[in-house]
Amino acid sequence: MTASLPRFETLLEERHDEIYAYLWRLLDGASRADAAVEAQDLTQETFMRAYRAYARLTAGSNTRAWLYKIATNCATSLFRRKGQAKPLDDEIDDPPAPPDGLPESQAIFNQSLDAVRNAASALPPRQRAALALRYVQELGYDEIAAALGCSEDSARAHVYQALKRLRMTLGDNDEN
Amino acid sequence: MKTNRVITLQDALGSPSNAALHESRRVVDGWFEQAAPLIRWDRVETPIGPGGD
Repeated sequence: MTASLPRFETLLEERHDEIYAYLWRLLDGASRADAAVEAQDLTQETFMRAYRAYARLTAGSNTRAWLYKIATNCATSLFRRKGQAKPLDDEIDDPPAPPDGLPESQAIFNQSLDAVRNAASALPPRQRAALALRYVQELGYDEIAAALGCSEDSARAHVYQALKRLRMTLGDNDEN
Repeated sequence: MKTNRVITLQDALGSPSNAALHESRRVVDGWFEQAAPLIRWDRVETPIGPGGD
């Protein structure tokens, strides 16, 4: 039996908060006060685009990953309008593959909150997105790949490269 | 004096306030209430739509 799609109202009810939070993190809400309003606008745009396209979605589709993809595209459009040098779809064409496995402990730091927050703010948007999707939104790599429009291997590589860059910036080689 | 503690990525990337979430939900719900009467996918039989309850 093929799983049917949920009602759009259900999708909105279940996913609004996490989509808003994802966009807020992409916009560096921890460091920028105006990210709250920008995230609100992008969240509305995400659900508007989703609503218009919902009838074309096939039954059994991963609606969560699909919403994240739309949200990522909305953020990319905003970054382009703002003239951001490195929008979400314009970084690392072929990132080095990570070693097997990425232990959860790699996402824990023995540093001050300000130091880690500043280092995360300095990450390229695509790497910050990959980290947020993996470690905060808790998506699988297949879903991250769908959200970022890349292969699953590239999704793993983006997460790996982001963690590596964070640790280099922080001078933190502690493997925990 | 700042002291270090264990910081997770969730700490570093932060979380929006409940007030911001509530305001966004209010705006999006308002938009949806206006848009929904125009197209009600849950009321329409389509081969790829949700098909209702």
